[in-house]
Amino acid sequence: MVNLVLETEKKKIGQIMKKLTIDSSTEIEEAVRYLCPDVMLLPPNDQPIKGIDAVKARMIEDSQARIHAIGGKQLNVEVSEKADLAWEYGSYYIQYSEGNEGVHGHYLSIFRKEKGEWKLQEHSWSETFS
Amino acid sequence: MKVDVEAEKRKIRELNIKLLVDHNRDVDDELSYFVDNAILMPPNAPPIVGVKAIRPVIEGMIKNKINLGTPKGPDWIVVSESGDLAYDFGKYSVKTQRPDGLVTEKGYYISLYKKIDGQWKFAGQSWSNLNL
Repeated sequence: MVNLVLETEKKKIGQIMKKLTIDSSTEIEEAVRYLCPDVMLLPPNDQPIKGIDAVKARMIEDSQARIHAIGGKQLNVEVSEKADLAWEYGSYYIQYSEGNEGVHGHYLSIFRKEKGEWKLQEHSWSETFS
Repeated sequence: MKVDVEAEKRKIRELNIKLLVDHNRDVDDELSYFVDNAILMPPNAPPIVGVKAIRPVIEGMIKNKINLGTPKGPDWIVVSESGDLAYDFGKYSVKTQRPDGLVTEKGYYISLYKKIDGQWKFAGQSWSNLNL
């Protein structure tokens, strides 16, 4: 039997991921609302980026790139029974100009619920250049 | 029923260490602790999805005599209030003997765990590589 509460929570996770990936390229202040204070990014070939200020700085840096198209596909979402911990993983692509194959890879995001709202706690990704 | 989160963390730590140690010994036993749709996400390659696809990866690690040293377990572990999902974060260092000498790779990892029928299972891992 489908647990409707958990299915609703899974949809919320998907909506936040969209805000964090697509909207963050233009609306960083909005995206930052969905980060835990001790959020951590784990880039594929670099040291972890820890804390909301460092992550925001990285988002601003990334937003400087001229992006033609960005998107992704959710492969799996799991939400705990009490809906306090969740993860999502999937694939993504970033195209920098028309005809350019750009970058693609996979991501793993971990969310925790704080005061009734899902927030990003950890985010790790792989990167394959075409 | 209230979950003893600290006790669950200890179980996750034991599993994390067991998986690192046992993959030098018994592939079938190692894979018995994986969920069927477990995923491995290397930093610069496509993901490896499902136990069938992961098996040759572990066999390759044994064949190539990858040395993981003495596993210390993750730096931290988070367990859900309901004790059914968990993840950990840690550092790794592996040594591989290659034709051109001993290569050491270092990085960080995040592992996923899911409790199935009362037992914690490994659901996936994403890791970085600082050597590139």
